[in-house]
Amino acid sequence: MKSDRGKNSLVIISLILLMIVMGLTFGGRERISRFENFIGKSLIPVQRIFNTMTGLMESIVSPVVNVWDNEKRIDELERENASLREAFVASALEANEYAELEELRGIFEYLPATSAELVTEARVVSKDPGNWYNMFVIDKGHADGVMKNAAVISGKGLLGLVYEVSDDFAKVVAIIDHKNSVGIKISDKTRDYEGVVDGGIDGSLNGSFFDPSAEVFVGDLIITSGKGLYQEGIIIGTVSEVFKDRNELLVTITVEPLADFRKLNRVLVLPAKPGIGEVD
Amino acid sequence: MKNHEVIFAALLVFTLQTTMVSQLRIMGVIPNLILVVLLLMVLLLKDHSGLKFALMAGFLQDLFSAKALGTNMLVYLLITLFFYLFKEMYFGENRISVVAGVVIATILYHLIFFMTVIFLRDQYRSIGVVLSTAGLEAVYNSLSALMVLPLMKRWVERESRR
Repeated sequence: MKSDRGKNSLVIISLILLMIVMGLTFGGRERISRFENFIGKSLIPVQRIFNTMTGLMESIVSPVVNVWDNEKRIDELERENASLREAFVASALEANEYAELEELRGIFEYLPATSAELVTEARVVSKDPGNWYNMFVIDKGHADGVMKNAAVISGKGLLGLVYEVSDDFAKVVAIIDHKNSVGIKISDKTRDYEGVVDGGIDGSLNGSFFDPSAEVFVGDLIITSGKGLYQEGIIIGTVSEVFKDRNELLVTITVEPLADFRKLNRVLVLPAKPGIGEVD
Repeated sequence: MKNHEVIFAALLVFTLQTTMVSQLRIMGVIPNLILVVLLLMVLLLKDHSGLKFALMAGFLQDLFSAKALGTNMLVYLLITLFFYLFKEMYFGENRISVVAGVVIATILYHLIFFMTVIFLRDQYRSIGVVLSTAGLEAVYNSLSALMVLPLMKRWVERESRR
């Protein structure tokens, strides 16, 4: 009887303690404790091996499973290739081609030239095991210059933001996670509208433009506006849906991210925006 | 089950979940192998190894993929306690019991998580979305449990002979 009461008390104390720990650690810590770092550091090499094995298995199985999809994709790529070739020939005839390219390059040039060496290359070692969050772990941490609130990108576009950092690894919250807001604008400089998008449930991004008269079209390329935690000019994705509010107070959009969150392998961690990353 | 065996099991299942199982996203939902193994441990083992496994696997999940330390530990602990309370009355070791247990555990997992994120003011999902995710995951988890059950039974038998 006495031991039962003791066990019950222990359980209740454990539950209360866990709730306190949750409250204290929510929001992302500046630095993960040494004990957690030790556990993570020990587990990362094993996860890397398992990840490599998964990738290998996928590369063997995928072509067989996706024969139909691959055929469709080849058709699409061939069509795209033909139209791109036409577009290229047409644009080659234009005298101001170089200036236009320079302008385009300017849109995506978000990093000052001197800070390029601060970009850290990392590998994704594990992905979120549940259905509540969209997070992943990279194998670089504070020792490699990764800071809390640094933007993480892939070759295709923005992936997310560093949430917590330990010495040897870091947790990243994907942009498709709920509550991860990103300041956006259209890449076309002639339409200078700004807005914000948040992660949706289905892996897309939903948001709106602040200007109710914003001219947004399906297919528009969306980049970061530089407002908030992310640097300006990082590619996010393309507009897949546009809704105009009846009262015309908001232009609501859905953005399909260009980055493939299912196939994350190598990523780049940008230096955090000045004044936003952690300060030693 | 010895402590080091529980730790090894938690490390193995967690690694499988974060690397291989997390790739099996069908209709936006992935199965939860950690929950499946936890439930089978609670139902099949006579000792309280399930409790240790819940804390260990929950800690690893919190360390690598939660916005607050303790979230998954709390959820798994509550589910484990629920099944320890009711397993002798309502659950056996047969397939139907296991599937029923997995469905209940999956729904419980999502409902407790739902309350946790409200407590943390982290995100809001409608209860309909939570239940539809839980329903789909329950199907995947049940199938996973039916695949893992014979392995676990064989292993438990070998353990009891030792």
